[in-house]
Amino acid sequence: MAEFQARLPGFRAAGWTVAALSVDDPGRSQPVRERLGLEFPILCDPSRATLVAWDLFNPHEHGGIAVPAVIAIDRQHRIAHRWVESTATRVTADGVLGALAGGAAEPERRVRVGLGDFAMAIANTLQRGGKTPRE
Amino acid sequence: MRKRAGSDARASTAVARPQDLNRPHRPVTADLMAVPTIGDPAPDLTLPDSTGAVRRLDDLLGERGLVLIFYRGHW
Repeated sequence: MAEFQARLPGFRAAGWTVAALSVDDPGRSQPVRERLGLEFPILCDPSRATLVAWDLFNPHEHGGIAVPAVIAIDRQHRIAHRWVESTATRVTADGVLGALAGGAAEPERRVRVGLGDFAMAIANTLQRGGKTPRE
Repeated sequence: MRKRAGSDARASTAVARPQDLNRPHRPVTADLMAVPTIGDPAPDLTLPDSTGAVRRLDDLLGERGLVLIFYRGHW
């Protein structure tokens, strides 16, 4: 998400807003937003109902979490682009920007999981527990 | 949302807990292609943000639209 924050001026210049969404409640999401310095909102779906409605609910991990994805929704509320990821890969913000500008619809992915990600996951789990409570 | 042909069989082993969700049961599959398809209408969205403010899809859309990042959350 930090990468999307860094590219936020580009998204805004192209007419696109950015938001993030997870199952975390506001009490868990706001510290993440502050730590990463995000200017875009983080939406909170602790009931998982929105994820189910969007067919992006993974019920098998950590009490049920989002399938990682980036979805572009146009002004007519239609899916303009969508990139659905595995655990270990992510479409880049530059790739999304390029596709929105008419470039490659399937831009390159970045392998995400590294030692830093595991360290952060362990620290988060020790601090807040392994599962986000379902509301 | 449209499902890719053949996803129903896989969904039989990947079902969400409908008793925990306030909506009719629908199989949820881990098939990563059985997700919103380009051109489909986006499901509506009304959720609190991290500050507690209620956000609606209409309010989030920019001049051209919204880029929505679904992420795994803390774990």
